Amino acid sequence: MVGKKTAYFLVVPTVIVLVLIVIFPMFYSITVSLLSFDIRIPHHPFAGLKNFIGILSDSKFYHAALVTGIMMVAELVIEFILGLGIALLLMQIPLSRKIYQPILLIPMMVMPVVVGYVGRLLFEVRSGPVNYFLNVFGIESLQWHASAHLALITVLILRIWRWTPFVMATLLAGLLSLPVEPYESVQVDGANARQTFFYITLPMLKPVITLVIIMRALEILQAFDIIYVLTMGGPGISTMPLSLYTYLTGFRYWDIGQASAAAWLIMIPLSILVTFFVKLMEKGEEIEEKN
Amino acid sequence: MKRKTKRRIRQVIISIVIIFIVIATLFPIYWMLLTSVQHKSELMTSPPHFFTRHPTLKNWEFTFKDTLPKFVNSLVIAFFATLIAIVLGAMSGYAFARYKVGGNTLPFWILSLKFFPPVVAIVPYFLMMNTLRLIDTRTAVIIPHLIITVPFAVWMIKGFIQEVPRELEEAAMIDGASQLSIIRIITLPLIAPGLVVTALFCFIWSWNDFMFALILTRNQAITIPVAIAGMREAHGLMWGEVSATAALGTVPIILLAIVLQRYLVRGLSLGSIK
Repeated sequence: MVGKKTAYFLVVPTVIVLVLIVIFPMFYSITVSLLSFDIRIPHHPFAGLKNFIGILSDSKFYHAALVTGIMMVAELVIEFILGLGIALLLMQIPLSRKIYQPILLIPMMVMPVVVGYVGRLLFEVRSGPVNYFLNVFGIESLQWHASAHLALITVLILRIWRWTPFVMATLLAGLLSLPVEPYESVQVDGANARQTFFYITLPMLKPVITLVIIMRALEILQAFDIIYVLTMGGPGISTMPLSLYTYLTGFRYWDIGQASAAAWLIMIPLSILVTFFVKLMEKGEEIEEKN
Repeated sequence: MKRKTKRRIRQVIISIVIIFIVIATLFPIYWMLLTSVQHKSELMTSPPHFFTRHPTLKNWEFTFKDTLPKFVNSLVIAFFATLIAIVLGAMSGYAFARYKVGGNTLPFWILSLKFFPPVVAIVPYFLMMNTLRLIDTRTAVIIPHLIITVPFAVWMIKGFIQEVPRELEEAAMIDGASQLSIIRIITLPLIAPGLVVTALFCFIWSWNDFMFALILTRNQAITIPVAIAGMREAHGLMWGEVSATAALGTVPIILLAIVLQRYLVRGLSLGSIK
């Protein structure tokens, strides 16, 4: 085998590339967040924490945090229940699972920008099929993404459509990999289906569930594409999450310093989640090595 | 007997529910494809047309003429973002899997970089590319896409190599094969499917990315997602044309996903669930 020294050289290019494309921009971003940055002039004076104070005293920022928070809770709960429900249904019909599963996975491959655009077609007030079906059932047409109360719900429907398949597929893979022995022994003990689910399935599935939830939370925290196309944060600021707020601050109002500060405020919950995720993966690796 | 009928009924109900979910899953995609082949007279009508009487390829014609350069941009960007990731990933993946270079710390550090959020990266990248006068070039988009593809490729390939039994390589070594030829003859062919899977995922991530391409391109280097988002603003009423472009950007990826099916969960969970 090659010596360990040669092996080190195999890793060096990757590390150099990653330092250049991630670590350097990261420090650059921290620096910018501490400057009073005007893109039109070359000199950017040091501003201390002015940008952070500016963000933290902007009521729009808190609203954006609220929108992200609502999305987080609503999506995690609904996607988890739907995803687990569909996975359990598919477990019941092993034969047709092979046909249905690939179809159910399609949404997560659709470009988010396209999801937003198709949302505009589907929820179109006058001629969209969604309102048409509502009318068929005798319900009046709704304004969907054009109304302040329903815009966020429209966004959520589209995001749930796109992401539930991911939750479903991961939980299904988890369910399929569970060992059979515990089930056999509780069957002997005469447990019913519900007891089996709550006392055997859920606890054994816990690592997979935790992983799925962390991965979803990481994505929800950065939700951007669908909203950009569907509502651009509107009407007003009713559907503006943190990432869109940051983007608009930087690239519409050209306040680069404040945008960097806002980005770093998103980094706080994000790095906590990433730490959890990595810890979990490390645990998984250790278990694998022991086997 | 009674128990059997009860079971049968249950199966039928479950099947109906699943068929309903399948319809809800496919309907938006059907609607996009339908809109892309409809004539202007059938679009935006009330009530909507659920089928088309006179399918037309006019929208697709427009798309092929208008978005071809953007399609090429997306292809070139995704190709290089993938190629670089696979080369780097194979090299360091091998070192991590076989030699435990950097113990656990280094590979997990690389894994955590996969989550470096684009929203934090866009400001520095915009400023850097602006200084380097690279705004609106494909290079400007390829570089940040490596944040997504490289850590992913390293991690996935490391996993695939770990699955190749070490003994196979050791046996070849006893037979006197050189290290390089062992990698070439034994390891590479065995992880080839894994490399293809990893490459397809990298390609999809890069292809679907919106935020970096949005900020770092203007008009020369625009990718398909940016083109779709921009068409919205420029031509508010061109539903048919936008749908054709959207379909062009989506359908190839859906086909890839069907190829990837068996590995989909593994890729999406970064190899944590196999």
